[in-house]
Amino acid sequence: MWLTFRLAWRHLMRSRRRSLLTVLAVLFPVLMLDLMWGLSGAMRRNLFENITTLETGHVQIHEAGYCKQGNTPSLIRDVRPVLEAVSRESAVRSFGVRLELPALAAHGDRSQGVIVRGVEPGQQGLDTVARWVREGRALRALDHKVVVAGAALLKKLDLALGDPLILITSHPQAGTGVLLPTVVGKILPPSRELSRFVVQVPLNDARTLVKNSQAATSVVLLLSGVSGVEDQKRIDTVAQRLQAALGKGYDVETWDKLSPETAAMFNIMGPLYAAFGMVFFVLAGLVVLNTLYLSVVERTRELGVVLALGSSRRLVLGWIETEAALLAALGCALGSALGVLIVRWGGRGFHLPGLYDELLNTLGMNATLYTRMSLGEALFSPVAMFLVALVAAYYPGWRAARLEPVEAMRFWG
Amino acid sequence: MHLLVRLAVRNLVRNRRQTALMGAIVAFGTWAMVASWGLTDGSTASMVNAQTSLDTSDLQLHRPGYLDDPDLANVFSRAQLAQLKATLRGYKVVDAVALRLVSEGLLQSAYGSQGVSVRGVEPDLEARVTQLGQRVVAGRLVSQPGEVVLGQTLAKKLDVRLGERVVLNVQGVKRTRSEGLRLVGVVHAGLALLDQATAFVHLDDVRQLTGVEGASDVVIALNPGANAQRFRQTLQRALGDGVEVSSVFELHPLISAMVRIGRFEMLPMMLLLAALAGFGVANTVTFSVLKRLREFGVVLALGLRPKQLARLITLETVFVSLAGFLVGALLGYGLNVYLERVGINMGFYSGTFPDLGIPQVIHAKATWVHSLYALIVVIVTAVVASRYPARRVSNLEPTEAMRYV
Amino acid sequence: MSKKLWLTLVLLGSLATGWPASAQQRDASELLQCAQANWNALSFVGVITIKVFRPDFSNAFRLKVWTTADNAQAMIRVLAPASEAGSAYVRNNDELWFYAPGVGQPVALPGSSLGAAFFGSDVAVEDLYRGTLDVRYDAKLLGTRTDGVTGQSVNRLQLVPKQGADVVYGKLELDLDAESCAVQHIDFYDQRQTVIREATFSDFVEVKGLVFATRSVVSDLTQQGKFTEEVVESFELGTAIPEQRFTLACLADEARCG
Repeated sequence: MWLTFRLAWRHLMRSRRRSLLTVLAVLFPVLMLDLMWGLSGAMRRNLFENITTLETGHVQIHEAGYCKQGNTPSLIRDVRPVLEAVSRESAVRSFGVRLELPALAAHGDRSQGVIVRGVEPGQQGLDTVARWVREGRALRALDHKVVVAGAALLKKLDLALGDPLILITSHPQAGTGVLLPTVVGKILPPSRELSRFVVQVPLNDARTLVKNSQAATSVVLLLSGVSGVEDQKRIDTVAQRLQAALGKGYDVETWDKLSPETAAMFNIMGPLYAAFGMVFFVLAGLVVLNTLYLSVVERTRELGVVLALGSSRRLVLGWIETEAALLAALGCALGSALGVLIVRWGGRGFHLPGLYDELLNTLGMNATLYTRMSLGEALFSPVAMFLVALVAAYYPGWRAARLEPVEAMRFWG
Repeated sequence: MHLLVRLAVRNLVRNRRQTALMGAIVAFGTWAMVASWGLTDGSTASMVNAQTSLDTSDLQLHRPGYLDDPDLANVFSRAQLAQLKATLRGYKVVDAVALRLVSEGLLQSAYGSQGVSVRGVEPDLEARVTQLGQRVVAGRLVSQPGEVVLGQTLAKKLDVRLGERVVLNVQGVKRTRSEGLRLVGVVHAGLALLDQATAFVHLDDVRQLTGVEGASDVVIALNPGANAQRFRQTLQRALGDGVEVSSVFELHPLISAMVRIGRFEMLPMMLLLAALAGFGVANTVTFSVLKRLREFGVVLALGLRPKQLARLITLETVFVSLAGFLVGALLGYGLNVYLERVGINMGFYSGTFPDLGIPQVIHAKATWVHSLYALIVVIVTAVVASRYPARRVSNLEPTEAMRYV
Repeated sequence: MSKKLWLTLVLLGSLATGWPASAQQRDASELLQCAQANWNALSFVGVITIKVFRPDFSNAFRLKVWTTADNAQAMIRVLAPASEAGSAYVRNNDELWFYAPGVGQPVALPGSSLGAAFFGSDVAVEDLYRGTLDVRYDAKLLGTRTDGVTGQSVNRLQLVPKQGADVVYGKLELDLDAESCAVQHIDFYDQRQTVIREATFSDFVEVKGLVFATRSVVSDLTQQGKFTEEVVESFELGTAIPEQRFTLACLADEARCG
């Protein structure tokens, strides 16, 4: 056993260049696999983050029976107990309170039905509208009697920055509400409907429309430790906890129930990425296979000499395998280490150069990518490639060991 | 040069196993590239197709400014429509033309009300520009005035059953009118806007309700396989400033963005794939060169110049890569053709989300363009991969090489 | 505001009969004409209190209402509650305008936006009162019975919507006093033979030969505790209303209403 090891080691040291090449041949595929996991993970997470922070958040809390009656969403009359329950839930990273009402926007003799959204500006990660601002500015904290509206709406009503916008609402529980904010920002969302119907005001102003300073229509939550679709279980668990804490009077819903089309898209992406990963894995395996196989085949003649000199076939095979294992282990370890390092570094945030970046920015999405690998993925590549290397070396080694020494010595491969 | 080519081929044939292995790497890499391109293009096309076949059709014409501010005062007059139709008849690539008049309205049932987009259509012609009829879940499409078809979600929300009456209130240019319409069909398009907030009615009904003659949209279906983008430019030039020609991408800018993002996401992955395959090739070539150093020494001693030897290495690599490419590209293209016809069954997911119209089947797209990209990648990789070994070889001392073990 | 509630108020105030006593065997359409003849007859100026009841809250509004004899023009000024006082709606044929002190200028309302919810309460009374009934319904006399309490004869009239009529109901059944044609009760059916709303009229007053209900209660039968009560406090019929009443200037400033 020990002899085998010494033989293997001495041999490797003697043909350093070949050994190096073989190590590289294992290192590189492992590295590439890690980079692939990291990058695909980064892109999927980026998409998830953008889509959830755009509209739905991870979890939303509404009054029970929220969407049932026709047009008007039912109000959470006092949002404070909800906020208390939310603050007691440690998994909540940040939250936003929203009050949304259908309203009439008017100016002169033109009017348009809109949706007024009252928000608290600066709610971390939940204020995508700010990214769509083309003229003027987004809402700020402590804003009062101002409004940010879509370019199409402002054009239809013939309004410019600095003009007053008349907003009239009527809610069954609150009567008629009137607001006269000044237009401070013009937004250009990626979809025409949003540009026509979206109007954003400070939360407290929206509350005056329903004459209730503690009212809300939804509380939107972002959870910690959630970065992708794979964290769905955590999201579900937190949602259940909150539902239990808040009781029957509220509906606690997760993002996939609120936006089933988005969830469906991720579900389709999952297997597609997995398939691509498989392809990568096979290619990596082929490369490792190729190299290890060749390196053994190449030495068949040499093995023949050793056999002729009297060593047992088992010794020879063991020797081959040990060499392969040593090289593969080194290659896998180094490749994995390098891969993990790069992924960690990428995890601090980077941008892909060129059009990908631009596109995301025009959509108002955050274009920063963060690579991340799960423990499973990090372990999988080196272990799998190691096994492939062993198998790759076994066949030719076994064949070589079975040859008659004389045949082996004349082997040309 | 000719000599080198013959030598290269002979060397490759002599070391069959090695050649095969290297070829396998290239073949597999190529197949992966072609297949994943095909699948990506195919799935984005499926998404776009859902929108065009059920909602927008290939092209639409509008008055300038209408799309940003849909005002009933800014629609095509009867005279303009007649002229447009006549012009369109002159293009062979146009398959069918249908008119729509769209307005905002309020839909009421005994149990609730909701704001909707009212789409007035010409039943016979509409059926030739969109295939919404394939998504009917109950009843049928509108065939005459007095009838309405609703999206499934909307019908459920307002609790309207087939045969029951709903009231549509529409704001026209100078007046507002209401009419009772009978629900004759329910559709499930899988497109949120259609299922949740659209009422399909006969064109004459909308004209009467709004008091507007003419049409807001001219919807054009092209022959299958026609390039909508190219024709759009042609048509826009022909029609001039008084008409805006739009395809699905202009009508739904989000879709266009999603398609482009999907494509760009593939690029880094392809690069990694190419790098890996390239490395595999480089590695193999290096091994093969090292193995044949003695042979090279002999050949050099016999008079072959070092630079020619380097070129020989490169040629060998390129030939194997090309062979591998051919196999991989054929297999990849074949798979794409198969998937284009048969498609990948997404039934698993349609089941998980029964409320969505996820296409049962996603198709790939088979074009030779994918193979062209792959070919470029393969050749570049082959040349780059053979550089180190080739350079190494061009510096060989013949005698030193001959003694290599 | 919604034309439904609008016309509700208008027509509640003018619900009476135009035909004098004892008409014997009148057929269904005559009865219908009888019941609705008033809506085209006289102008109405009055003060109305509307109380909206819901399972978890209630609202009360006090309004002053003007309508012309042909119902082509009408105006509502909100008197109470204080938060809404001073706001007003005016309707000229198809044009609807709204004003609130907080807004400072008249706002044109699209006929379809926000639908019924606009007046701050979802509408409890439905389209029965939108213009002329005989345009939208075909009438049929179901029968006559004698009211146990009052001893009066009551005609039961069934109204079925005409083809393409803009009503969401399957049918209506009205109880008309045989003598005066005053509407005492209405059952609103959906299109599945279920009564989903009912309206009851009481506190009848006789004015200028007309029988007039000053109290009505309309209930949504699909939900417990959901109903609206309207009481006409004071009113005048047939007075001449100055033209300025229905102008935008008057809408914005009561002083300019002539």
